[in-house]
Amino acid sequence: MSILSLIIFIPIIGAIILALMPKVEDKIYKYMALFFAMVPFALSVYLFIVFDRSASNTIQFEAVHDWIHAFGATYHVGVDGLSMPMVILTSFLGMVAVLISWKEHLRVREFFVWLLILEGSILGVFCALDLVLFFLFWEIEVIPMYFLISIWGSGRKEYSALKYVIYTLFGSAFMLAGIVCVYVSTNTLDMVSLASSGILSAVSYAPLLFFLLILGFCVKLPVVPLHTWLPDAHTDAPTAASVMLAGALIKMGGYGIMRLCVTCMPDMAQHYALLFEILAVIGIIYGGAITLRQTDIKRLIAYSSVSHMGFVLLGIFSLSEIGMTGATLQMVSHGLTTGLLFAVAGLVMHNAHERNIAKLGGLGQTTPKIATLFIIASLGAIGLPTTSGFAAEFSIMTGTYSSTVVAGTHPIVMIALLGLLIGAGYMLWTVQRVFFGPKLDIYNEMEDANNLEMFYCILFVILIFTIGLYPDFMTSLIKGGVSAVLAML
Amino acid sequence: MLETITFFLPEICIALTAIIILISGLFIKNRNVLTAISCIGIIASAVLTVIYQYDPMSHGIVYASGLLCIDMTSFYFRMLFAVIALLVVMASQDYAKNFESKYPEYLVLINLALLGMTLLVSSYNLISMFASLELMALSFYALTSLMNTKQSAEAGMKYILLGGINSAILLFGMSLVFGYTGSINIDDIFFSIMGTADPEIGLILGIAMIIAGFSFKTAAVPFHSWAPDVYDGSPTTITLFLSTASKLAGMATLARLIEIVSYGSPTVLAPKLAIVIAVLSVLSMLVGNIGAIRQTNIKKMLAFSGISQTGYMMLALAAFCLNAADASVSNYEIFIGLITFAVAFALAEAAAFTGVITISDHIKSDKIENYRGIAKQAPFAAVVITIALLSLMGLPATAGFIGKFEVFASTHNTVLIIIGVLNSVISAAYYLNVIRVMWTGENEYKGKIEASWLPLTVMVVAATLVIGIGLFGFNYI
Repeated sequence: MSILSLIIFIPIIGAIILALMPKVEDKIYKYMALFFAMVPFALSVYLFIVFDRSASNTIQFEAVHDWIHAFGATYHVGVDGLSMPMVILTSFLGMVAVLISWKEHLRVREFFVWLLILEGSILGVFCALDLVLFFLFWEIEVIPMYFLISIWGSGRKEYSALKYVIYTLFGSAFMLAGIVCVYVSTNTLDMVSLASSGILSAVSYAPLLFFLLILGFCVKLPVVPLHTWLPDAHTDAPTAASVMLAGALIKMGGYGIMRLCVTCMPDMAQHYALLFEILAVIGIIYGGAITLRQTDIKRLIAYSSVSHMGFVLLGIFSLSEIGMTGATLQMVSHGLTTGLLFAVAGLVMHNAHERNIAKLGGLGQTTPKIATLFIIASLGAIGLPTTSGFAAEFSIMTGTYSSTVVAGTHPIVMIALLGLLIGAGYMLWTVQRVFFGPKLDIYNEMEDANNLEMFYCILFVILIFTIGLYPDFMTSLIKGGVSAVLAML
Repeated sequence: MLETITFFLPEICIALTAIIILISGLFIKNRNVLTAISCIGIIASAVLTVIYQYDPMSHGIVYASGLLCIDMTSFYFRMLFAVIALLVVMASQDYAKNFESKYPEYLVLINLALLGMTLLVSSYNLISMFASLELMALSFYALTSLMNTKQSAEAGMKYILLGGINSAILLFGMSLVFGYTGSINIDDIFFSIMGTADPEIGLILGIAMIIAGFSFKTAAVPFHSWAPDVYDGSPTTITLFLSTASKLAGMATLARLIEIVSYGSPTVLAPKLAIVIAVLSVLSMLVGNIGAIRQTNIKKMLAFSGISQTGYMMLALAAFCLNAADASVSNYEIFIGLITFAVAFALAEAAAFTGVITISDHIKSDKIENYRGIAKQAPFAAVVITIALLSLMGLPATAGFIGKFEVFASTHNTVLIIIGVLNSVISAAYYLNVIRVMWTGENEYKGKIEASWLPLTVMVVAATLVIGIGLFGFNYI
């Protein structure tokens, strides 16, 4: 079994073992879940190190097996410079999600079963190179997320969970139609050969096919106006699920657009690039503006994702090397900063029993550790130099502005720059309202982050600054992956 | 002559089983013994089918003076019906206490219905088709009204009245086809259609009436109105049998007829037929899915979902017509899609209904709202129902996805593919609703819900196969 298959299936096998094992103490389930999440992370760090960066435009660690004969689907996994960062991000967040849930006490076994299945299926999406395999992992992810939100969530959890499922299924239905059409018209389901042969652009209904394939990703990313599931799902999910959702899951959308839509149908991508650039900038500004109005701390972070994912879409459809590299880096960076923001917001909620920003205040004096972590995360989210967000957003902006493939991007970049300003506005304003100002007596007894919580938050902080100070550590991979995409144009 | 007899061994085996149960039922009152006899008989008939009815070359062997044939369609559907009948008999173990005194007759009728179905899918002649269809239908008329309840009697009455009208239409259609082609043999009909550039209106009418007649059995819209009430009133095990085996028998026969007509006349009749079948298919999907959303009773919900599943299967039939003139599309590919979908559908229904039987038997209700939080009391049945519903919905990693993918792909038609997947999304609304209800909240019933080992086996086997086929494909046909 290849290492990549192990990375995908260890969490899933772990989940099955957890589900079937005899009843034991909750603590043991937690340690087991941690083990099954740590092994894939360790393996993906190993792959990250041995990954051949000089050949990151080719698929590495490949494994191919026969699978479904009736329509020639194969079990085909592999990573290149585009997917490797996503794999390591997901396995990292998967491990941290287990640590974040250490205080969970409701139906503990089930909770970790679903969390591990979720991690395995997201990893599967990033590794799959066969359309049916890709779609399989893409759809399986819906089930654990549904249960995580609807059982362990808060607020209108059942409503949010169902809304999430319906939006996802709606988008992926079109994707399935697209995949069936791809199969019917080309007789192959292999993403690598589809990309290298460019055969899809020759299909008579190529524009229709392009939109069928991209719609599912647009729901996931999310692209305004298909974003309304996101604030509900993020807000009502338990902290670990929010971290996975914002950190890894919505990246499936951006990754899918690059891997499938842009790579396999580059001329369609170029033809409709301006449309998606405009949607991206609407997302950036609209998402940012609506974030300013939020009163709930989790909902605020959720809406900021809409704005940040707008940058990703902007970078992708610049169809330039710098822009797409920036977009991929932005996905990693957003995974880390938003992951940390949700983790710290979870601490605030858990320790203060309050998530309304207006009712919080002066927490910097009672809980200095939480405050410091939150401030670091929000600086990362703003894109302050030395944090990962800066490297990413800077490349997106320059890449889009200087794009030679897509015309008319200058005004779009100008407007998008305003989004950075709005971003700084809502993040700093939130920090000021929650952590500064007069100390409130009701929070005198509030606990600060404990050692475990400090530990995983600091992991985030280290990564945010490592990428910020030395982005080449990621971009050396990503560039190769992106150049493979651009070679098609 | 002797060779011909061996072809009939599976049928003889089923008929003998029926007779043995009928006689032994007079003095054996132990349910387990009767169940065992029935299971052995069905398994033996399946083994005999493999030995004497399997034609690896699939050229088709016609026997019994051209009344019956052996080909891929007949073989795979015969095996499928044997499996379904076996699962139904096994699933009846707990439920049969509702009609204890009639248990021997119940088994006899199931065997006779099975006999009718096996003959129906092998029929290569309009007369044998009609006769075996009636054998199947008459057994079902009795089975649906087996319970001593008002609903059961109403179901039986409704089914027999509408079924009678349907038989009349079917027979009229057959007589028209006979009149215009001069034969009741499928081969002869094929050759006489092949020659006509401008078919007579009477022939078209005849074909349309035959299609209507078999569509009634598959519960395709607009011939579906009997299904929800009959499914609801029947004993639940019979609902399972009716909604899978009877429906698939009609579907297999339709596939045979439509294949013959569209390949006999790929440029004249096939395009006309394609429109008719595609409309039936899309209507079935829409009416089934939208109807199912409104249901509060799980059996009725499954009935409507079955109507929508008929619609998906009809896409494969439409594929025969749409691609008749296109040499690059083999009807083998379309057929594989249909049989895979049929297997996935039958297994998922078996799993779902057995779960429903187990739960409803304890909580004494088929209302979906009474299933609230039942996963606590009946974790196993709830898991099985969840898997089954996800498969019916077509989620990847279940057999239903493989079936849907193949059926959609076989149409080679973008519009039908999109309509198909959009209907899958609509269907998610009611399947997920049942799953949500089962897994959240608290149920009033506090006892533990467990099935005896036979229904348990049905659930384990069906659910495992659904997942197994979903994960590894249906690679062995």
